[in-house]
This record gives sequence, C-alpha cells and structure tokens, in this order.
Amino acid sequence: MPSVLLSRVAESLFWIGRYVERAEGTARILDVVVHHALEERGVDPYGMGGRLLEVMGVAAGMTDSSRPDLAEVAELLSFGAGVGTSIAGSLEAARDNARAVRHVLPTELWERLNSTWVALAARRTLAQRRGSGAYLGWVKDQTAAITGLVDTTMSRDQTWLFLTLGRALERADVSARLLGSLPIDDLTESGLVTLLRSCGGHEPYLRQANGVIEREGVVDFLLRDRLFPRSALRSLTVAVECVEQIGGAHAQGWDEARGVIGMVRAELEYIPPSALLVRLPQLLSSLHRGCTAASDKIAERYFTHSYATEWHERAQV
Amino acid sequence: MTAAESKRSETLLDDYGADESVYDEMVAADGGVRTHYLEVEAALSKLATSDIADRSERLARAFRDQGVTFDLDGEERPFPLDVVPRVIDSDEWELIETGVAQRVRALEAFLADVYAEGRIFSAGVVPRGLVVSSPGFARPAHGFAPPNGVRIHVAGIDILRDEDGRLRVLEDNLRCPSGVSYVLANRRALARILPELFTGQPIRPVSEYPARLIEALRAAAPRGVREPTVVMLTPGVFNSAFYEHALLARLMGIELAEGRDLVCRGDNLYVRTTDGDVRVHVVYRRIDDDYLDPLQFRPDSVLGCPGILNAARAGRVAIANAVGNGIADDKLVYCYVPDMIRFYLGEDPVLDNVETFQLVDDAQRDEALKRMGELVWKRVDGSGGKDLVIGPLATPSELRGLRDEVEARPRSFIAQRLVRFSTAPTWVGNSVVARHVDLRPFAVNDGDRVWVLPGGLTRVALRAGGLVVNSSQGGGSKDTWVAGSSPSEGLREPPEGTTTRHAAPDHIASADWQPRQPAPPMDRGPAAGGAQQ
Repeated sequence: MPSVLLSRVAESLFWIGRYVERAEGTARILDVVVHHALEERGVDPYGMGGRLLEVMGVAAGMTDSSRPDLAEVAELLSFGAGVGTSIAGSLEAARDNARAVRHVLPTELWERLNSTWVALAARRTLAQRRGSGAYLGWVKDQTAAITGLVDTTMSRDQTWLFLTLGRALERADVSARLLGSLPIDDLTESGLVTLLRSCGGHEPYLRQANGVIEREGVVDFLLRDRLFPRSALRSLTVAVECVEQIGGAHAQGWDEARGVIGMVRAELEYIPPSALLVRLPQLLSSLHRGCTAASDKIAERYFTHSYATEWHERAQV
Repeated sequence: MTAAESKRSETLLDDYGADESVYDEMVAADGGVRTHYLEVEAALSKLATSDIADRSERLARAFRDQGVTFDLDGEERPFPLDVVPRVIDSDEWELIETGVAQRVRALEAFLADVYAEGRIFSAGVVPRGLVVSSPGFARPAHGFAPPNGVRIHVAGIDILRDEDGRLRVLEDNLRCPSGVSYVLANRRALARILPELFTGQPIRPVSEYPARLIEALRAAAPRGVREPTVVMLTPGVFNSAFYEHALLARLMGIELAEGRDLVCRGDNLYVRTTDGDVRVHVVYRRIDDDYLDPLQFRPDSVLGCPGILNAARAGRVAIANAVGNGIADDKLVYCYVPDMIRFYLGEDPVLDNVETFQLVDDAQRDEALKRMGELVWKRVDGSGGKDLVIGPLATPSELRGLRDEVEARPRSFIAQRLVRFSTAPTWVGNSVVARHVDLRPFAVNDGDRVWVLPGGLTRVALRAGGLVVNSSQGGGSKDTWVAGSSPSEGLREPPEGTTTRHAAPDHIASADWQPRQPAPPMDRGPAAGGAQQ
C-alpha cells in the first residue's frame, strides 16, 4: 500500500500539522499582543486579556469574577493544560499524535517532536527566570526546526500531503486570529509594524509597499498577499493544492472540502480593497467557519475508521 | 600494555566484586579477563571514569529523546541501557544458535502434531491430558494448518548460565515475544555514543532483523498471493511494547494497524485507508489470542477484529504468530521439550532445561512444597515475570497463600530451582560492578530455515545481587555482541546499510577502480562585498 495511508494515520498526520502550526501561531500572537501592551501607553490589561481569550476561542468557562489580566492570559496560553489551546498543550498533542504514527515519520522529525515535548517542563521553569520572550523564541525555533524537517525529510506522498494540509488550514485560521487579536482601527504605525513583525512580514511588506505603512495595506498584505507564505490567501491556496493531490484519481468528482476552501478563498480574493477594513470582522469569521467546515469535510471523507466500535456497541444492545 | 594503562584498568575493576559462587561472563575463576572480553575491558580502561559517566548520561538522554520507552502503569519510561556491552564468544554463540533453532524446529513439529493427529500422545511421550488441560490450548486452531506450515514466525528463547557455567533454557516465548526493538536501538545508540568500543573487534551486525522478519511474514501469505499486504496489529499506544511495534513497522515499511482499523467481510480482512478498504493478507499481531477475535475469544475485547479467525481458517489471511501457540510455551509442557527434540528430530538436545518440578506429580509436588522457600514458582501461562514468586524473597504469608493455590490447582503452576545465574560487568554508581544477566535470543522462521539474530537481548538486574531482570522491576539492558564474526557462517548477504568490518577483497577493489575525472569545484557566490550594493 505505498500510495495510501490508514485513515487513522492520515488523521493523526493532519493533526500534527495543525497542532505544530497552532503552537507557532499562538507564540506569534502572544508575542505581538504582549509587545503591543508594553509599547503603547494606556492599554487596559483586562481588556487586552479578554480580547485575546476570545480571539483564541478559550473565552468559554471564564466567569466575569475571574477576569484575568493579560499576564494571566499569556500564562494560560503558554502553559495551560487544555489540549490544543495552549502552546504546551498543542506541542504535547502534536507529539502524542506523532507517537501513534511514528512508524511513518522520518526519525529526525519524530525525535524533534519528542525532544521538544520532553523539554517543555524545563522550559517552563526557565521562562520564570528569563521571561516569556525566551520561551516564545524557543517555541518558534522548535517549530521552525520541525517544519524544516517536514520539508527536507518527508516524501511528497500522502504523509506529507495530510500534514501540510493540516498546517495550511491552521495557518489560515491563525492569520485570522492574529488580525483579530489587536484593535486594528486604533493601531498606530508602530502597532502595525509590531503586527507585521510578529509573522516575519515586516520586510516583505515594506518591499512591496515601497516603505509606506498604512492600515489598509497591512491588512490586505496579511490577508491576501499572493506571495507571502503566512497570508490567509496563500495558505488557502496551499490547502486546495493538497486536497486536489490527495483526491488524485477521483479529482473529477465534486470534492466538498475543496468547495468549502474555494468559496472562502474567492470571498477573500475578490473583495475590493476599499471594503477590506469595513468588512474585516465578517471576513475573519467566515475564514474561521471555512477552516472548520473544510476540516470536517476532510474528516468525513478520509478519517472514518470506527468499525470495531460500531460492532461493539451493537453487541451490547 | 603500558604500566600506566594496566594501572588504570585495575582502577576500573577495583570495585568489580564478582561473587565467587556464581559464574562471571568477564572474569574467570583465576581472576583473569576472559579472551572475548579483553577488547572491551581495554577500551573502557582507556576512558576516565568521568567520561564513562558522561557517556552513560548521554545514552539515557538519547533514549529519552528518541522515545525508547516502555509503558508502566500508564507512564512512559525509558528502558535503561548500560554502557558496557555483553560479549558472547563466537564458539559459544554457535552452540546457542544451534540450540535455539533446534528448539524452535521441535516446537513447530509439536504444534503441528497436537493440532492434528497427536502422534506424540499415541507414542506416550507427552500425556494428552496435559495438553488439552493447558490454558494455551486453542480449540479454534485444531485441524487447521497454516499455508507454509509455520506457526512460530518469531520466538524468544530465554537463556541463563548456571553456577557451573552451563547454558540453560529458562522458558520459551512463542506467542508475542518482545524486546527485539531494544536490541536494534541499543546497538545504534551505543555505536554513536561509545564508538571507541567498536574499533577493536568485528561484531556480528543486528540490523538485518527487520528484513528477515518481513521475509518470513511474506512467506506466510495465503497460497496464490504474489504481492501480499502485511500489516502489524498493535493494541495501541498504551501497550507497554508500543515503542517496539512502531519501530518494527517502520523498519519493515508496513502499516501499524489497531483493531479499529481492520474489518472482516466475507472471510476477507481489510484495512481502512484514505482510499477505501484495502485487502490484508498477513497480520503480524502483537495482541494475545484472548483479545484477537471477540467472536472466538473474549467478547468484550475491542482490541482485536471480529471475524479474523474465520478469515484465517478460510485461508484468506495468515496470522503470525499463529493462534494456539500458547500450548507450546506452557511452562509444564516446557518440561517435555527435550523429549520432543528426541521424538520429532531424533537429535540430542543442545541446550538443557532448568531443573523443574512437575506439580501434577504427587511425589514431585510433595518434594517441591517441602522446599518451597528455596524454589521459584511460576504460573504455567505466565510471561514477563508476572505472578512470579521467588521463594527466598517471599513472605511467609505469601508462601502460605501460594501453597493453598498449588494444592487446589497443581496444573496451573511449576516450581524451578533458583538459578543464581551469571554476572557481567555493568556501570552502576560510577564504577564497573558485577550484575546478574540473562539472554533472550530471537529466532525467525520463514518455513525454509530458522534464523537466529546474532546476540539477542541481554537484560541486567541493576540492583546488587538482584535476580529479577524485568524492566518493570529495575532491570536494564545491554548491547549484546557476538564477537569474532566467523567467515560467512550463518550469514546471508548483508542487507543494505549494513557495514561489515571486512575490507573489500583486493581483486574487487582493483577491478572497480577506474581513473576518473576529478569533480569540478563547488559553485560559489560573489565574494563578500561584491554584490552587496
């Protein structure tokens, strides 16, 4: 079976891609928000904290009485125990998925995922001494090494395709969250620069915008630059390419996931620049919904693997 | 050896403390180092104590980062690897290899016989009642012969060396023997971290194991299947040996499936993939018989696949190791293995058993119960050191409870003499000390030949004087070397990636050598400052 994967294995690969990207994305978002709070005067730490929780989709469960400030939220998103919501949780989830499918992973990739997880406890202690910046920097280094190994050691077969698909969908989702994490309308020029820097987009933006920092241009760049690898549009394009290659022989039929991603991409692509800022909230939420729906469609088509459980349930009746 | 070196080596062995009443693998009775250990001893002596300690730590870290672990009570733990290899002399290895292969051949014949006509019963060599009363006897296996006749695709035969230096088989593991992954991981880790040890002498490679195993599995495929799909079946990530399952699947290039990935339809077995269901022809299962098929065995099992046994009986899928092998590694049946070797093969056993009391025999039971506190007590279907009672270490109340159980169900137990098995040099607490070691060689049967992996797994009891080597009870393992590779003997062509230590024969070197154009120099960019404007 060289060209296909067990459904369960494909699902784990997809989620390794998502969790690693989520860890990196969360680190980048925390970096930008914490920087913003430090650099701008008069930022309400509770307001920023609440906004961040909301944007990261972990607001549920927080009562008003326990409204955390930014520092507490940063701690939660760095080290919180929830699977896949904090950086540590995402790295652990990525590693657990990798362990279950390590037989299809290149050894170096597995070892990097595993040693990152092993080092988490020590890094947490270290962060208390050196500050969160050191931790976030380490997370970015580790995820860069992991994605680098994905690109240099994995064959472009289904293992790579599912992992890359998960990574691309998550990256599109994270870019929406990044744009939602700061009050775009109130950002000063330095705030916009911080936003660009957080995803490594400062220099590429400057080159293509002839050095002019303006709100609309920055949002346009992060949402739909065709060449910048962290723009939402670019990530959706990668996702569609993966879905098409995975579909392979059956590509002529209707593919639900491809349809969902294509719709979101079209909406992003064809909205006039003048409407970008006004419609930003709607755009971001349709981006989230699109990523979730695409993930569900992919799961439905490729990841169904519950034979034994079904049989067991009927037997108990 | 210079005076300085010999002095250092004395320091290294200062605390060795070999017990004179047991056999030591390295130090002979006269205090000299045995020939096959000289190289290792010399190499270690050249290293400072702090260097060995440092390497030992790096070894532990490498295992942790690679996830070389076993699961104990839901927690992943690294399996400690000792920095001092265990060395087996090549002549002695030949004996072990022959003895292990002989045992596997006899046990194969026994399984084929008891699940068919039962010649060994009619001949009066083994009582029929003994076999049908065994918890390992599987009725669904009766009357069914696997396509290439192989039931024991993989065997792990546990061997000890007794006080007099004689090698003895302690038990046969013919169901899902585990541990071979540590043989592969240990060699790789030690060669990286202590390369100095490897320069002195040729060592037989272990890396061909996965190639031999996948050959044997493919050879087991149902008749008429030319390109069989082989999958490995694991209980999942929470199984204590999951690391091994993943490693072997990766090294054989096959899929690692869980029960929920498989489905049987119309006596065919399929695995669920991203491209729909794909037919499976051979299952290398690492799940016990009891959990393999809820239709045949435990109905509450969700680990296996309903219907897989019928598929196997219909000849559509091969299961390795075969269902029903538990009868041959029943510890009471073990007592008869030497008789089987004589009966089926007409040969004398190469390796002896450990002295064992058959408790179903009244006289033997009385004798054993009288000496309860000095014997080792085991359940006949146990494995991996579970439910083992070591007389001298047991409390009086444990022994009383055991006595009641034995008297009520004598068929369920055996008692063995407590062998104070051999010791080997081991790095503990910053010095080299003597610790008890066992050996589990692994054999692979492809139907044409029983191949024995050179060396096998050496487990070591890290506690001083300890006789329990299980990983769950403070045991570690050692890289196991078969020294002085005898030319071509027992070796097939080395698989790809294996480096042998023999220099290429001269005629090959000269015939292949052609004067060639030197490669052009590497491309370079502009010099610093050249294109920076």
